[in-house]
Amino acid sequence: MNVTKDEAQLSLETIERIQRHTRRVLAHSGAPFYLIIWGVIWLFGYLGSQFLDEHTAGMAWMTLDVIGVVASVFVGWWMSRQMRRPGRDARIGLFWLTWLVYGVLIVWLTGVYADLSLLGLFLAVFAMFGYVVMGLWLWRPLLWVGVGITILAIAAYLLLPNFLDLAMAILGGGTLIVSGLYIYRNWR
Amino acid sequence: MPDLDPIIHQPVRLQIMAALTTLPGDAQMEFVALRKMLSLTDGNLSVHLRKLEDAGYVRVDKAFVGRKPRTFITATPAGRAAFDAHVQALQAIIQRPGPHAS
Repeated sequence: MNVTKDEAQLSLETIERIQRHTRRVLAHSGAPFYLIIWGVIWLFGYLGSQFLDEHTAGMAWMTLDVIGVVASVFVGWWMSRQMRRPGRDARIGLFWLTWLVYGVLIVWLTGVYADLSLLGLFLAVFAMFGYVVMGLWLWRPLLWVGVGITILAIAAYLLLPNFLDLAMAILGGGTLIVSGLYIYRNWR
Repeated sequence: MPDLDPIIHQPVRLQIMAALTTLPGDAQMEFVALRKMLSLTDGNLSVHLRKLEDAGYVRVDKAFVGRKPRTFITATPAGRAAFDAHVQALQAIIQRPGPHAS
């Protein structure tokens, strides 16, 4: 094959353009939206925990969680129309189901629900454990988001115990939203 | 230095391989999504996918999503290796003195 330098350069530019475009399509197809969805839910959920009475805050969390699960399932369905990872897709669903069951078991067995502040910390850290596993397994940015928010949650619990929920709303929810927006914009 | 791959060098196939090799290793892209992304027609994409499939560079799987049949395409390990080698060959050409390369 005879290829000039200009042709080679053009081919490399085409490759770079298509790779950038593919990353943008993938970014737009859903992954950062998980971060944004759950960031918004954390923001409002923890704000509710900070400022509403216990019963109302609990109801708000349940409503927000249902919205989050429905939105996540929709995003997952939307993503699967464009791209799939055979074998992994089912295992991802199975992981989150196992994660949920073990989360409930740990809360019940340890009695952590008796201390609302500790429960708030546990839920944040346990949620981030899921993100860390997904980060190790699938998508590295989730690992750093998970580790970062875990550190922030523990720091807030130790340093700002009276404002843990407010801190988690701003630091936890805010970090999820900003991370999602950053990845969305950065991959465009 | 790796040689240019005549199968991959064709402009449409170059774009297809560039897109598929950007996906994570085991990920498969749906036919219509790939067609839209590369602004190709059904026929054009099918013809070039057939050539890449014959070379062992891509794998085409048919599956039902709900009740609708869908086609998913993935770059094979051989396809990824061939694409990487092709990119290295292109980079070597632009670094080499003189206007042409074989």
